[in-house]
This record gives sequence, C-alpha cells and structure tokens, in this order.
Amino acid sequence: MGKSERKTNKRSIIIIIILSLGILALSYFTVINYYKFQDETKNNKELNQKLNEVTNNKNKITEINNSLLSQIQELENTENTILETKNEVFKLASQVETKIKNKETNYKIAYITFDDGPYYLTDTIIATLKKYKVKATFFTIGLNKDKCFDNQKYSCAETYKKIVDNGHTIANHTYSHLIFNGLYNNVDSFITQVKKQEELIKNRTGVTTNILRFPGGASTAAYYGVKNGAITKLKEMGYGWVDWTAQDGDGGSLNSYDVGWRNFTGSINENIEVVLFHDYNKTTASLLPKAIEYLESKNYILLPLFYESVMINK
Amino acid sequence: MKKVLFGIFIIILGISIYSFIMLNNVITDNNNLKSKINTVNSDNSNLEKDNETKETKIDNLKTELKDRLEEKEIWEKAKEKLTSALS
Repeated sequence: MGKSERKTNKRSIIIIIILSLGILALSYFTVINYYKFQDETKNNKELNQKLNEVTNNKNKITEINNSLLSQIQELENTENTILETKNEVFKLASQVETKIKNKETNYKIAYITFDDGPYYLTDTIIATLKKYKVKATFFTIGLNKDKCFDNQKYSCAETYKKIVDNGHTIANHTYSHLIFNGLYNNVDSFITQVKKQEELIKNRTGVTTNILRFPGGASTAAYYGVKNGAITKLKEMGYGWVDWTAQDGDGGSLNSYDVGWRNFTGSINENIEVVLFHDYNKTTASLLPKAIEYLESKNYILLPLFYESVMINK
Repeated sequence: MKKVLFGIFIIILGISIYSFIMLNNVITDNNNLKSKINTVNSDNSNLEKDNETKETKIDNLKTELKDRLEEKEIWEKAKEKLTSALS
C-alpha cells in the first residue's frame, strides 16, 4: 500500500467516523424530538379539551348573564308592563262585555265602586282590595282634600295618590257634592264643580279622569233638567258617566251588617254589575271581603271601570 | 460505504429537521392554547363577578318592586280570566 493510498484510507475512515457520529447524534436528537413531540401532542389534546371546557363554561355563564340582564330589564320595565297589561285587560274586558251582552259566555263582570271618598276608611278598603287582589273604582270628592273629614289624624290628600298607585280607577264625583245646596242650581254650577274636582285629582295624582258619577245619580228624577244639560256639556268635555246597578244601601246611615248584606246580595242579579259602596261606611268596610268572595263565587270577574266599558254612558 | 452513510446522514438530517419543525409547531400551538385558556378563564371570572353583581341587583330590584310585581301579577291574572272568558 502506497503512502497516498494510506492517507486516502485514513481520510475515508475519519469521514466514515464523522458521518457515523453525525448519524448517531441526529438519531438521538430525532428520538428525543419524537418523544417530546408525543408529549406535546398529548398536551395539545388536553389543552384543546380544556379550551373546549372553558369555552363551554363561558357560553353557559354568558347565557346566565344574558338571562340576568333580561330579568333586570324586565324588572326595570315593570311599570311599562303593568300599563301595557292594564290596557290589554281593558280591551279584553270590552270584548267580554259584548259576549256577556250577547249571552255567549257564562262569565260575568262586576265593577266595585266607592263614592264620596277619600275618607280615613279608604285605607282599610284599599288594604282589603289588595288582600283579595281586586281593583275597584273610587268616585272622589274634594271635601277631604287635605285632612280626612272623619278623622283629622289622617291625610286624605295622600289617599288620592294611594288609590292610583294601587291600580284602582280614580274618577270624578264633583268637588262639593252638595246636591241640595247649589250643585244642581244650573249646568254651569255643576260643570264648575266637575272641573274643580278634575283639577284636584290631576294635582294629587297626575291622572286626568274622564269618568264621572253624578252625586245622587244621573237617572234619578231630581234636577233632571240640569242633569240633562250637564250631560250634553260633559259629552263635549269627553266625559263618560255611570250610575249603579247594585248596592248595599250604605248611602244613608247603614250600620247593620245583616241589612247591608241582604241589600247587597238582593241587588246582584245582572250579568254586568256596577256595585255602589261608600268608602266612609264602616259596615261596608266590614262586609267588603265577604262581598268580594260572593261575587267571585258567582263567576264575576272584578274589574275597575274604564272609559270604553259599555257601562259608561257617553 | 461513504456514499451510503452520507445518504443515511442526509435522510436522518431531513427527518430530524422535520421533527424539530413539527415539535416547534406543537409547542407554539400549545402556548397559544394556554394563552387562550387564560383569556377565557379570565373572561369567565369577570362574567361570574358580573353575574354575582347582577343577581344582587335583581334581589334589590325585587325587594324594591315587590308591590309593583304583585300589581303586575294581579293584572296578568285578570287578563287570564278575561282570555278564558273569550275562549
């Protein structure tokens, strides 16, 4: 073997050794990479799974969040919802009244009304109505505009607002109610008293009423001419008026529960009733719960009066 | 022999580079995933806090509006009765 040949062999051996070492090193590096890759891939799967879990969780929490938000909005819109529902109730009540008139339903409607208040007993009556979840109508006068006439400790001024806040209909019964002392002298004297009470109601509650009950009733013979003239004027003013179809007879000095109950039950015979009570009468206040139960047991739906009702004369 | 070894070397080098790139990709992906998970977890924590605040607000509103909610219920019951009278 020549010198140059030995040199070439040596170089070849070195190259082979280097290549072999390189292959070994790269193989080691590749194997390590492979295991790391396996670990990271496993990790990747777990992380993806975790991401899915937290994302699902996020969706659920977001859903709850949206539901809570809509609950808040619903609660904040309660007043509007009440108003909308109230208007829907009156629309439906008009349709039911028509059905009742056409004898197409077994349901009946009763409008409980209270005249001449507010008095200090009005609070008790409102509490009873609240307990029974019933809405009524209060035909107010101006006599008790500040302190209650029958109990000076009470402020009847606040009661006007309380009537409205409790969802009852507030209506006009003239300011003075002085039937035999000037109210029906002439149409103008009557209308003056209507406008005065309308203003008082507006000031106390913010409500402009367009429902009226004539003190003593519109259909009674007394002052018929003046009442007729007043009706024409009331129509021009956009007012409707209503008398009553049932009562417990508390307009005078009713103080017997039994008599009141007999009067009341004896007068309930129409499919649409407008029940007349007075919120100054203690007997009425005490028989009211039983009267509500009685009407409900007779299939009456109890509602407050509304302008579109067939019972309101226009 | 040299050529064979060189060929093997090149192939293993290729495999090695490829596996390195793949490994890097998975590591980058995992880091992104970790960062995403952290973000979503932080979102969730904020949402949970927000929900707690909202629940408290609802409780307060329900207390404040107790009367008004009862009022709403009364009108809804009247509506139900009238609707059944119409049907």
